[in-house]
Amino acid sequence: MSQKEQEDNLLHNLKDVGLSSDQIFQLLMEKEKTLQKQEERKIKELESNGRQSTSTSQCTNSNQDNISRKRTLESSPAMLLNLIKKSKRNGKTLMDLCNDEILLIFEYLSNFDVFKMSQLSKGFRDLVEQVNVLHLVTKIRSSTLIHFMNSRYFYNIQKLIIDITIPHIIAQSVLTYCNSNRLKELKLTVDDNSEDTLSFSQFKESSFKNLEKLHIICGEKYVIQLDNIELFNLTDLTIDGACCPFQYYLNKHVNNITRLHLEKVEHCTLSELPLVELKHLTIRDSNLSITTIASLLNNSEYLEYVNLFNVYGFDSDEEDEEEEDDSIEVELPSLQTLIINNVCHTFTSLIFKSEMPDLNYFTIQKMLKSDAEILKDNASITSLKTLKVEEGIEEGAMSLLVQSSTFFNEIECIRMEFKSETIDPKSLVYISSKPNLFRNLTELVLHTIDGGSTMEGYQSFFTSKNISNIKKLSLVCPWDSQDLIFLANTTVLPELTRLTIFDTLYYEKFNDDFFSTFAKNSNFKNLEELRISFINDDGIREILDSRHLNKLKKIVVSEMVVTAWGFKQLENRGLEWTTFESIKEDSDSEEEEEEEDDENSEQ
Amino acid sequence: MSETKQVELTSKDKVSFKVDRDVILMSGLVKDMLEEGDEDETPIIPIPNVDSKPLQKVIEYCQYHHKEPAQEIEKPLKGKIEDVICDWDKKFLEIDQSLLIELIMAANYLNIKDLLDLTCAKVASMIKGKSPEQIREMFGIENDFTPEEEAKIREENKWCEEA
Repeated sequence: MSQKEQEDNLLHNLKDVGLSSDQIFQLLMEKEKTLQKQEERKIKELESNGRQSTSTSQCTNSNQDNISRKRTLESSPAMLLNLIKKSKRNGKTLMDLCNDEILLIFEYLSNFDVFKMSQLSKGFRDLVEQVNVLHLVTKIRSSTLIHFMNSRYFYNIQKLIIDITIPHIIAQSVLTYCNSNRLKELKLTVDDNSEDTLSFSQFKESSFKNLEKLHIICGEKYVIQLDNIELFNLTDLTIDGACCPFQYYLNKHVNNITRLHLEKVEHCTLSELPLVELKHLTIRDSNLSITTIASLLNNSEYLEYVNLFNVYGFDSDEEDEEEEDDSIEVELPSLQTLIINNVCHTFTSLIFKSEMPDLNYFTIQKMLKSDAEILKDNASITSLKTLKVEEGIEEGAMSLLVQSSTFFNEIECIRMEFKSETIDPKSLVYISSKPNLFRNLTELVLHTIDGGSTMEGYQSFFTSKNISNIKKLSLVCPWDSQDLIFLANTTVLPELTRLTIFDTLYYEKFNDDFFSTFAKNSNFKNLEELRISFINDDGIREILDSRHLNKLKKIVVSEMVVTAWGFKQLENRGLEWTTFESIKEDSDSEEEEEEEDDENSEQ
Repeated sequence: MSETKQVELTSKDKVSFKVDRDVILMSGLVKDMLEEGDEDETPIIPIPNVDSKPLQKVIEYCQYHHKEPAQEIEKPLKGKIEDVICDWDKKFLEIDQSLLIELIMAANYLNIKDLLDLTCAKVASMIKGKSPEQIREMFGIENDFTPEEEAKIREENKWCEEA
């Protein structure tokens, strides 16, 4: 191999071990120095042995050249790589890290990569034995799982999370191996089609007494038996899909549960539940009797969070729902967060009638007039700070709510950001109609993603003192372009930091004076972010030239309206900018991801 | 316009770095120390466990990430670390192994969680999928098992190879 080829190979090898150009240069310089020193030493040796001719300096140089060439040829790439690896290890190594740091590295490895590390050295073996979490996220053979449970590592496991689907027989084996008081957290994902019974009850009473968190995902025909087993430390229970009635897993042995999450619970009637410590309740995709719901809510005076999603009476068909029973009442004295999404009217009316003095966050998918009628008369709701309506408000519902003497008293944020439904055109009228009603409002979003809605009452809204504390405002466009002038001239929004006005259909029709008036209005001196779908190049010029909009940091525009010139202006001023179109793409891909997640969890 | 408040950090090898206070507040240790001190002066904070080279990298990290919070890195890593971190972090991690280890120690000592997570995940990414021999070779770990012990532990871990 020629010297050139050797050098080329050497450079390739150096790059392969992950060195940068600078590092390679430094190492080559070091190599040169080492070779020079070796040559000098050799020369000295030759001199001292009297074998060196002193007759001419020319001869000395010739000898040095020969030695130098010989050394260059002898320094093979392998030798040099060893030298490099050695020099790389001169600094700190993995062995210099403390146990906590190595355990943190382990957290980023799959469990099996971690267990393999026990073969590195005695120190690593001891460290691996301290690992107390097993999280299975990729498919493994059942035999491997059984091997693991037979291994020394399983002895320390306190948190066993199996996110891959396992057959019932393996799930039951896991329980047998876990039967040792050590386990604090267990998650099992059992085959959907299984019709067996996962029985904790076959073990002695105290077998799982330290279990704090239990999460079981299974098919609709699976039965979970937790009766006769002491679970006094169990505080967090999630059952997703089991067909068995509550009493199989909610019994006197589990009365310390603070978080309960139930999914796909079918046809359950139970009037006495022991969950007196419950703080956090989530029920999804289930059919329950009204007595069961009442029992779950009523026995829990500490209940702070309720999330109901797709929850019906015994039959999803509304006509067959249980009759509304006025004699059933619930009290929710500690409830702070209420999220209601597609829940039968019988249940919503039960909840909306109840005492909720601490309620401060309320989300509902669609606000019906009948819901608003009940909420209007509930004088216990005095602490509500955030109201979020996700997909529509029935005409007339908002006008009922504003009649309440208490509902909006403390409100700080109203968000109605609909994907398909249109906003009640009178929403602005309701907010500006009653003096002092919305005095704490700092965020108002009345917005449809697809635009196209029309709203009334711009003039009174943008002169109403009700909105003087608003910091974030997001509105759909009025149909009459003159209405925007009321916004451009407003003096009642001095705190505004973010303004969004959006309508995909409107950008060709806005009033030419809008941006020049807006830019000259000192009311907007605190504005930091501006999102306007119809702003064009002229509008951008007005905004950029404004002497009042000094705090503006970000602008969102539509690429349908702004030309390359406008984008260049934004760039030249160093203003952060983006387009509605790119935001929409992002939100679309987020939705797709969410759908995928939902599908995965169902699988 | 008021000047940005600064803090002076002194490394183990006595090199001083002046850093904006709000930048270095990413360090839990420095934050705690500053809360105890006088606000008006430029405090000098000795960092006796960290050399100047890793300390400079720590400051570089804080200067970028105090305004751009790092994204959480998944545990365990499902793929390469490069797939889950930003371009700036990728460039930041183009360092030799010794400095990477020193950065883990510095991040732990200074209590900068995001940097500790990033550097630990980087090491995990280097280990991922490698055989014990390759890991030993990569990190210069001495095998202190006797041949009998090694054979035994290899046998015990045979099931891991199947996973």
